[in-house]
Amino acid sequence: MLEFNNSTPLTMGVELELQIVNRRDYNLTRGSDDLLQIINKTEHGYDIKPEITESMIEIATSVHTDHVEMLAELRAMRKLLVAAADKLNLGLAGGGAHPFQHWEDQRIYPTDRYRLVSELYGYLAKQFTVYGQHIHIGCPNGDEAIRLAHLLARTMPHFITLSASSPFYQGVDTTFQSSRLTSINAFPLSGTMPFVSDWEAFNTYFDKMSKLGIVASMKDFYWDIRPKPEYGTVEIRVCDTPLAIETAVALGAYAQTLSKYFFAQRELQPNADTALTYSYNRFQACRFGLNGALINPVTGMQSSIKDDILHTLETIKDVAEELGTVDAMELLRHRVLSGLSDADWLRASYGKSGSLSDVVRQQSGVWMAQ
Amino acid sequence: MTSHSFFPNMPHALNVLTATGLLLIAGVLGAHLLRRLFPQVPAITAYVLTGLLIGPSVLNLIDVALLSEINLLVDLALGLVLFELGRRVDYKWLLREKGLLITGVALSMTTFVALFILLTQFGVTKLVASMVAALGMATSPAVILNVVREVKAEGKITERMLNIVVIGNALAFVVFSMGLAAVHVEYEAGWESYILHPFYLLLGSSALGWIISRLLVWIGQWLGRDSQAQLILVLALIASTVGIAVMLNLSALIALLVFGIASRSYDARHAIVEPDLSQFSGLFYVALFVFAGAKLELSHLLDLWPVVLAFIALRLLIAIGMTTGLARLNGITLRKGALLGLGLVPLSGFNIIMVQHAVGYYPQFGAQLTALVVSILVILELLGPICTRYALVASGEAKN
Repeated sequence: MLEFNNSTPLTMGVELELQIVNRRDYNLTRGSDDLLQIINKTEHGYDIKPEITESMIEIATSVHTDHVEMLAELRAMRKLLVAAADKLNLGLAGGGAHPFQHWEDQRIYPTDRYRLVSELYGYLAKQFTVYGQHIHIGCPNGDEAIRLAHLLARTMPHFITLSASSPFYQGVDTTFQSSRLTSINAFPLSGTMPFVSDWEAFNTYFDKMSKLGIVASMKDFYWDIRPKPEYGTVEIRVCDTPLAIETAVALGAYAQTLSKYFFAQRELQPNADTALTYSYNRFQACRFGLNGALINPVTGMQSSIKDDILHTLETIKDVAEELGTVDAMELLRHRVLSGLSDADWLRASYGKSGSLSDVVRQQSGVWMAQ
Repeated sequence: MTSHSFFPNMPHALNVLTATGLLLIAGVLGAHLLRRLFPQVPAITAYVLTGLLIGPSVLNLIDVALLSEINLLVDLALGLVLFELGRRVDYKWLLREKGLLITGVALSMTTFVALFILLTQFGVTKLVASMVAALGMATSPAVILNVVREVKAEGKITERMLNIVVIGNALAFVVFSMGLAAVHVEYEAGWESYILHPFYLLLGSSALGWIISRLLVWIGQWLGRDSQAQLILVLALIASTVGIAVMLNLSALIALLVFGIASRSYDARHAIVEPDLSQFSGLFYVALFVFAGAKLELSHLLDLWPVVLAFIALRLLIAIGMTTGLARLNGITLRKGALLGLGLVPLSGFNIIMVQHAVGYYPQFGAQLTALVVSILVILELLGPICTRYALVASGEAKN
């Protein structure tokens, strides 16, 4: 039986995977080791670690209840990272995928786990050089985590749309707002959690999968949203790493506010039919962003993702006020109304400059705030 | 008119195009053969060996006269290499990253002084000693860039190596030019020669590089980011820079380095898309190194081997000693510091060209200089690439 380490409800943490690029042609470059070596010379206490390929680095915030404090922590981490990157003449950038890297050029970071993953998944491992944001929300117990994961599932298109920043992949415009999630679809254990009713039912499922020899730990599930028993959280994994840390924090606050709403509204119950529309809605969000169509599995009504986000923001307005996340919700509302997502910004930048190298240069300027 | 006048007279030697073809085919076949036997040997070493084999020193399939005709191709190839190296240098960063700058300058200076003392101990005249010691500062840009590309090295050591190469080559050129001024004095040339000549070389070449870089940026802005058109523009400007440098008796080395560096650092609108020269450079590298091999002469080694070996050993010792000693300053481990020094072993083949220029003015003085430099190059052209490859692989920066 998996132990769910109960945590304080509505605490949150954010993980960001970042691109490491050279400052010559702004292609990805191996740099995580060199960066970590410099960063780890000081006792910083932050969680900064390598990821599966050497052109990725992952930063994770500590546990927060207040998103403003989280932003302050991320800013301090950014300062540390930017100083190290400047020393090596490297650039750091947000964005769900590097626009023109070639996956076969990527190098697997030399640890046992990543070597195993690379052996198992072959070229998928190198194609996994995509950059996501993960959001953790604390849950009082396993049953609540299962309920929250199901209820949040319906809002995944929001998170995809609001963070979408991978329109270019392998040197071409994919026509998608987020092409990154498509790379994840290829993994056999991607997709969504099965419709289980509580923590015990989840464990029955996990035991079966484990006995069948398919999984060894929760890490083997590449689901869009999954319970994370070690942390006592529900983890949202659909977001591209946004171009700026402010957006990343606003998304964290959005997840926190939605969770508070779902924890409080006891009459809301998970609905198995969510699975019927899930993949379709998710595709619409990846492909069209705000203009995508969203089908409500219960009412059968169709609306645009844009309207659905605005409507949801309206619904959770009071909760946001109680929680003190109004400014973050305003930031998101403004992004939706102005219609300028990160993906659109990247396309516009390419339209103006005609060079994907130059797009990455600007992209890294945004993340590094330089 | 005879009845068979359309038959050609059998030529005495190959013409330039045929010789170029032979050079390239021999290089490719030689590399293929050698790497089947020794997969760890860099392609460059194989090219040089092949060149040595078909050149005047051994088989004489390509003779001295032909070699000088192929010069054109080789000048262009070197131009490409130096421009690319210049583009790799972000001098504003280099000025901020003082540890690296200090390492580059200190390494060059120590190398110069130590080699100078060594050579005079062997009875080499002070003037020749100073000029050979100056050339000892210059690590080969072509070898380093080629091996870096061959093993796909990326990272801290690689970047530092490339920057030190630029510093070393620039300083080598400055000191060599000063040496040249001293030669002018020795041979009692007019004051114009010994004052103006080094200035003319240094400032003239830099100005040429700067002007061409402005042309690239301006025309590039006007062309927009059409990478194909920009690539052609870059190649055209590299060819022109080499050509103008030759016409004006300037240094193509300095002009092209300045061209590369300035076109990257002074491009406010980021108009220039980083040119991908790799599709051409493969061809040029073969030509360059087979040619370099063919140019090598073994004959002087018989007499000069003690001083040559001492020169190489001391230079290696200083490189490794300095980079290891200054490892902390560069934020790298001692081991990686040592590897950095080892990687810098290849000596610049450009040296021959500089020497030839010098010899051009005073043939009576140049003989000893040429013999020394060529003999040192014989060994380092073959061993250097192997050292660099080893250093990059052992530092973990090469791809697998």
